[in-house]
Amino acid sequence: MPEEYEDYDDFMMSDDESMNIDDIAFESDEGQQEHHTVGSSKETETTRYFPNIEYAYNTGLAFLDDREFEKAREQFIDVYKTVIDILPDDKEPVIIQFGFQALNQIISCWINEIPYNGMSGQIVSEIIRTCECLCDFIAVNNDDHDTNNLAKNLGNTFTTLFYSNSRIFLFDLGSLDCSAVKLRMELQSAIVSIFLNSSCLHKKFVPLLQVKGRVSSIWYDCLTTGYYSESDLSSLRSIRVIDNETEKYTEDLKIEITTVILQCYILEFLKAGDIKEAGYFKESISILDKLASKSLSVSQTPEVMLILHFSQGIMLLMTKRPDINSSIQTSVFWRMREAREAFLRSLKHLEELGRNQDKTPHLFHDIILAGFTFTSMILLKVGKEELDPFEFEQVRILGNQDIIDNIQLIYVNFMNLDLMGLFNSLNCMKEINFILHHLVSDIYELAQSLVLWTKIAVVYSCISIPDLENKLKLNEYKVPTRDDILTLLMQSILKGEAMVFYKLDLRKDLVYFGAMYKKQLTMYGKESFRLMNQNKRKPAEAKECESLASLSDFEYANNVGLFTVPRKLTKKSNITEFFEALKEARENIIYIDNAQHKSFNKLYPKDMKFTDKYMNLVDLMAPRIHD
Amino acid sequence: MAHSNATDDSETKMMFDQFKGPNMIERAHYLITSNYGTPENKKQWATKALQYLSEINYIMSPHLNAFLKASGYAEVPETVSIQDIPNDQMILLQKIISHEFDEALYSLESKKVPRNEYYRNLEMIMQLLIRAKNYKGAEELEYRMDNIYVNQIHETLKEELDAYQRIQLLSCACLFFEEQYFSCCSNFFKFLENDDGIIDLLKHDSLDPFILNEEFLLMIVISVLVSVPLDNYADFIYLEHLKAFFEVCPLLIECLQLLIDTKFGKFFEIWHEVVGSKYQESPFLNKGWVAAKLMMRSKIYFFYLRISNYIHISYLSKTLGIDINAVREELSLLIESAHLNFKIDGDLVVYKVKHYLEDPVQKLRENQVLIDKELEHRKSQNSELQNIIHHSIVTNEEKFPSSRELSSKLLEDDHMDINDVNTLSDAESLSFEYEVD
Repeated sequence: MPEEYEDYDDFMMSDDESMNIDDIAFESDEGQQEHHTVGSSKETETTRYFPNIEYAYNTGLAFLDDREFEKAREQFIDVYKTVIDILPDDKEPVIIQFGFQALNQIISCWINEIPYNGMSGQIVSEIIRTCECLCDFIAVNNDDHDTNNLAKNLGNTFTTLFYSNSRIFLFDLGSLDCSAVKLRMELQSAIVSIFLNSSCLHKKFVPLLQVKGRVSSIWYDCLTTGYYSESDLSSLRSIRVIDNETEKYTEDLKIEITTVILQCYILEFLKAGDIKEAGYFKESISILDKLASKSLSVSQTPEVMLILHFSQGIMLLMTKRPDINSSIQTSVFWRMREAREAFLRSLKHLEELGRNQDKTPHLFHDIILAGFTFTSMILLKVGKEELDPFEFEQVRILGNQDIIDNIQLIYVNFMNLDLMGLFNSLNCMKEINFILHHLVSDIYELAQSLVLWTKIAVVYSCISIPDLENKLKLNEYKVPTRDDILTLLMQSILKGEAMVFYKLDLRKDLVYFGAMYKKQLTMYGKESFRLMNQNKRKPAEAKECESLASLSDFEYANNVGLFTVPRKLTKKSNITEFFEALKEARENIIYIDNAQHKSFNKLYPKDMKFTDKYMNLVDLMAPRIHD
Repeated sequence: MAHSNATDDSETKMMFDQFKGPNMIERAHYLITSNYGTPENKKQWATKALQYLSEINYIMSPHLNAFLKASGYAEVPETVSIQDIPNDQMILLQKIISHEFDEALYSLESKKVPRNEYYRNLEMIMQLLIRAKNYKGAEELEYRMDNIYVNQIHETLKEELDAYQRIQLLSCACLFFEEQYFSCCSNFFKFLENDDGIIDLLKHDSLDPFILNEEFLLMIVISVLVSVPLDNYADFIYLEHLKAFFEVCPLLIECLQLLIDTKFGKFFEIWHEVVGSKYQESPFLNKGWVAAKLMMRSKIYFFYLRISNYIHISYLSKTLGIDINAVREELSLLIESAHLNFKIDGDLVVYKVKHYLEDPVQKLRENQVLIDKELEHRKSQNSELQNIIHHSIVTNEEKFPSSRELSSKLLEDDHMDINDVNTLSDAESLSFEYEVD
């Protein structure tokens, strides 16, 4: 397979050697036509002169320029017919080129007519007929050894045929009249199968046609059934385009592949609120991200950038999933900030596309809006961000008033930490609530944690776990379980979010809040720690010198954390600082630590008393008694 | 179950197949003497070891009998021997196989080593020291690491640089063998911070590995989990420069994430099954496992004790997925060892504070009893002695009547000196009696 791709290098390279007459063709860019007609003026010594043909051809080009498509076509058909007449007797390369280019121009005429007169079944069948002619023409007249190898020069033909399909997203077809797009995809499929089945196809075009075939099939399925077939997506994913930095063509093809793949995944997300093949999704995002960072033109195409940033946004929301988050560790607030940024950019791209004025409902607009406001309010609440999301112009313009009102209600409920209100207002937007369920569960989790620490722990000195369940419920049916409560309490310690000291009584299911419940867990210092042997209940080592702790005792005590003051390393530190801080904590004995660190009081009461010191004193006497 | 066993076997085979020469011999011996693998597996391992010994024409391995027994061969099978090993290497090889480590070490140390083979030689010395279980000696090799030279290596030899990095890894491994888990991982990560080339080294095993990358990574996983405090796991995973490491070692991040989310039960599943089963395969991981397992469990128990005044052992057993008797046993061990203020009362673990002077007072009481006893003892000794003296005076009088005059005279003399009389008073009577005695 790989050898098929290698030829891409010369595929779009309109280098003088291999394509001296090919310049006649024009490049089409999003329906905007601009062409240069240098064909006959670029005569070489071997070229014979065919004034009639050339005149007719140039007239055709002039008509095409003036958008007289019908007349232009007639001219090119004339050229083609003349060529066909001459050819059996005179296989002059120039004649063949004229025939080839005439057919190409006929195709151009039809394609360029579409923006003016609309897509129709007639145009489709005409183009298909011309393509068949083209295939036959090449099959008969192609000469592999000729520098004007027709089969190899189909590049521009394909550029014309597969004109860019921007500004419509696969995941946003709901409100569109799609019959024209559907026709186009039928046409594209037909063209692909004509050329793939034709004997004249040069192998370097195979991947291109495969991509176009899959893409049109995906589009067609989405337009008719609302969803794509998994097999199309996986075969599209498996098409690999060999890297070639000098080649804009390979880059375009790669962008087409990744944007279509991402659109499929976004469609899945908008339908299910989740993406099954998250690994591929993530991979495609990073491919597109790389392409965009390398190319200025890509990074300035709002359609592509909207797909990229929207994908990044929803991926960040799903980052809790272990398959996505296998290696990159991010705190929840970092994630929220990144997601917020991605949604804000998406909003700006919508603005660039002029979509912000569009008052018809678009689900994905609402998702972007909700994603942006929800992530903003989380950051606002925890004090990591100070911008009110509703201050943003993009927000005010984009949504319809209902959506904005609803989101504002959610915002207020969240800011007031009204759990039941939050739940009710989120449930008013069923669809958004479902699609963004990862983010919504983050919101609930954070809100519950904040309620626990800022509203309950500071007020109650003792509360039962059932009461906590009741206070943290979202509605009558969404009551956290005992395990949920315990997990919330314990996680808060490990994540450094616990704001009030607490103790549990799991016998009566009570939680005590407040520093006064701090207790000394042991009256003995680290020096007196001896790991007992599991069977004999004696110090495991050091039978003779029982007064000395062995190294392994200290290691054990330190590792278990028996005598270490738990200390959160708040500032982002590097590896060396991190381990130095831990080392210091291990080596210090808690009561020496007292003055230096404010966090000392996190676990232990202020007035620690140590038995072992008195014991030492008493022990001093004991041996003397026996003397 | 049968299925998972089958995959385990194939993994072992693959892991074992990565070893060559003396490394393979030692691994084969470890595997056939451990309770790992089926008799059929053991036979294959032993046969492979014997074949190698036969190939190099040297059978003075201390494990020879074990190999013969496990393989079922009566004697070492004949094979075509390898001829192309240079003489000096062969001698070294023989010394390693026959466990004459001191001599092997001597031959390596006394060899004239060209500058561009310095670290490869040092690595072999280190491996020898580890084989001989001289971990302290191995760690001390660090003094022979020449940093200036390392900077030059980059321009010279990749093999030398790899050897240099592997020596660093081996020195971390030595700390692991000595169960100094904190030093092991803190040294490793400091090393990683200075030289990220180590990541690449950990991705690909060398051709003749001494310790597999997989084993190194497990050592680091165990060390981090055991020695980094629970409260700092969340700080640890967000450290800069660690992303690349987490990519080669996803197990660590998986475990840490579970611990941070306080999914302890799920964590122990992985800890016991993944980490616990790997340790069996490896002679290097094997030794520390029991201690590491206990420490990890104790760490979680202590976390629960830290946050609760009352907690049920059955609850702990259920949430952590650890057998209830083991929980009870290990908890009471922890409480006793650290003198924790907890009591186990049936199924319940209760915080029970003692007055800080309770133990000293207890001890003082014991001392008091001891002193009382001693006093009692001395008192009775005194009275016994008094009796004896009294008795002898009486006897003396009876025997020698004149002595009575003498003694009365003596007494009269004494009476004349009031100080002497005082000396005889109660307080000093003890010493006086001893003197008389």
